[in-house]
Amino acid sequence: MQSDMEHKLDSSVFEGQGQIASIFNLFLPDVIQDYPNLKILSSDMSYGARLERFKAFYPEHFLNVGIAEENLIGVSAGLTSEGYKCVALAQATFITMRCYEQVRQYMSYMGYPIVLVGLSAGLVMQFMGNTHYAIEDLAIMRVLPGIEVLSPADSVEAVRAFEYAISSNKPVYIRLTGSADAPLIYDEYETYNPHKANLLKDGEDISIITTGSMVTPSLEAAKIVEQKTGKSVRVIDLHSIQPLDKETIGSCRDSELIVTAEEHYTIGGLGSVVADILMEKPNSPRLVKVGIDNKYSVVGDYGFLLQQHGLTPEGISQTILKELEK
Amino acid sequence: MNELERICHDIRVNIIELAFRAGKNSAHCGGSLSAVEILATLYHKHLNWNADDLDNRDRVIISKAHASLVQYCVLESVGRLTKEELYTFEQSGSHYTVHAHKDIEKGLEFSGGSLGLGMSYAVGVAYALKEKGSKARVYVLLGDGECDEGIIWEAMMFAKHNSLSNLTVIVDHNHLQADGFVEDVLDTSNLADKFRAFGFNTLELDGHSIDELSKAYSKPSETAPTAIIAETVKGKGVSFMENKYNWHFTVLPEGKYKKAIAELNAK
Repeated sequence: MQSDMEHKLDSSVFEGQGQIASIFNLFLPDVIQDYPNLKILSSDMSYGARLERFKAFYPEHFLNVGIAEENLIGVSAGLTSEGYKCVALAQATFITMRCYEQVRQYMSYMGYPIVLVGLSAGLVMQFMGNTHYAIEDLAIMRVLPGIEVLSPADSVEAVRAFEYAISSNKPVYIRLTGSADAPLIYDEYETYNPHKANLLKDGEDISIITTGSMVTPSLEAAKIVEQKTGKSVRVIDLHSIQPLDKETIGSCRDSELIVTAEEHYTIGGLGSVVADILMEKPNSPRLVKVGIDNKYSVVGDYGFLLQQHGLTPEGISQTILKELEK
Repeated sequence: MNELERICHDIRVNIIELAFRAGKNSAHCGGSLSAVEILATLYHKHLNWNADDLDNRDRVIISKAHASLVQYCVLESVGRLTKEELYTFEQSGSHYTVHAHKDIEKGLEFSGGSLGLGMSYAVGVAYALKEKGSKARVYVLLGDGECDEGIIWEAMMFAKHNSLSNLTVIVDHNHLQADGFVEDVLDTSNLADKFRAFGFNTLELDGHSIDELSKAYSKPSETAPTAIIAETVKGKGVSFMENKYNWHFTVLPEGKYKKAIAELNAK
C-alpha cells in the first residue's frame, strides 16, 4: 500500500524548512488528492503547524476543535470509526500529556489508527519555558500497546515518516524535533521502514545510536572523537522507537562503547530502549546515555538549552572521551 | 402494565439477577436501574437498527459506561444478546464486563470505562455522519456526576459549533454519584440551563415516563444538538436502593436479592 502511495521527493526543497513546514506547508498540499478521506485536526495550532496554505486550498480536509486536546483525540476517534483517516496535531507537550488517557483509550486500547503529530518536541520552544518542552514523550508513548513511535532525524525523513503514517492502518505518534534551519541529512529517502534503523556511518570501535534532532550533532561528534582518538565510530539513526530494530541495536555489541544521544530525558527514552535490548544478552559493552538529566532546565534560547544538557557535537564528544579514559 | 412497561420490569429483574450472580465482584445497580426507561424506550420504539444495514444504524454510546449492565439487559430484550451471553456478565473471561467493550454487531458502539470519553467520541461520530449525509442519529447517555468531567463541555461546544443536529444527549439525572448527592459533591446546579447556554435544544422530563421520553425522542431539533435532561431516581424500583449512594457499586447479598425480586414482582 505504501509503495503505491509513495511520492517522488525533491529533497532540496526541504532545505532550511524544518520538519513542520516540510510536512504541512510543502508536502501535504501536493499529495492531498491521493488521500480523499484524510482529515487534519488541530487544537487551535494550525498556524503554528504552517497549515495556512493547506487550509486555504483544502478547507474540507481541515477541522479545528478549539483549544481542547482531550476532545481533539475523541473527535478524531469518532471520525476514524466512520471511515476517515485522521491526523491530530498540537505541540508535542500538549498532544502527548494533556490528552494522554484519551490516546491510551482511543488509539491504544480501541486501536483507532490516528496519526498523532507532536510539534516542536524537545527543547526547541526556547523562551516558552519548561511547560512547553516535551522531553518525556518517547517514554510515555512507547509504553502504550500498538502505537508506533517515530522520531525522524531531518525534514526528508519526517516527510517520509508522515507519508508512511497516513498510508498506514496503525496508530502512530510522530515526534518532530529540531529548528527550522536544521541541515538535511538525507538526499534521497526511499520507502519509510519503521523496522529498519539507518546506518549513517560505519565504524568498529564505538557505536552512537541516536534519534531525531540529535542525529546531526552525533555525526559531528563522531568526527571529533575519531580525530582525537584514532578510533572509528559508527552512527545509527534509530528513527523508530516502536517498532524496534533489535537486530541493528544488537549488532553494536561488537563495539567497546555504546552511546545513545537524544533530546529527551535519559529515563525512559532512547537510552532506556537500547539498555533494555542490550541486557537481553550477556557481555554487552558499556552504555553511556547522553540526554537530559531528570530536572528542569534553565530557560534560554535553543543553543543555550542544548549546551546546558551537553547535546552539542562538543558535549557529546566530550562525554565519549571522558568515558574512554575510565 | 403495557407491553413496554412489562419489558422494563423484566429488565429490572435481570439487572438484579445479574448483580446477584456477580457475587462479590459487585455490580452497578443504582445507575442501571435509573436508566431503564431511557434505554428501553429508545431501543424498543425509536432506534433504527438493522443487522443487514449496519452503516445506517443509529449509534447508541453509553458514556456513563458503568451502566453497561442495563445496556446488556436492554440488548437482550431486543434479541441482540442471548440469555446465555447475558449471564456471563462479570464472569472471568467474559466479553460482558463492568464497562462494555466495543462490538458493533452486538450493539456495543464504544469501549467505555473512563468517564466523559464517550461524549467526545460521540461528537466525532456525529460530525462524520453529518458530513457524509447519513440519516443515522447518535444517542449518547451521560450521568449527571459524569458532567463533572471537563471533556464533556469541550465536546458540547464542538457539537454546537458544528450544528450537530443528529446528536441527542440524554443525561440520567439521578442526583447521585459515587460519594453522595451531586449537589453535595460538586454542585452542577441547573444542568438544563447549562445545556441551553451551550446551545443545545434542551428538554426536561420525567426519565421514568415512557410517554415523555418517546415524545422527546420523536422531535429532535433540526438545527441544533438536542439534550434530554431526564429526571430519574437512582435505584428506581427497589425501595432500599432508591436514592442511596451506597448502591452505586455494591455486592448484592442473597437476602437483599430475594427482597428486591419479591418487590419487583409485586408490582
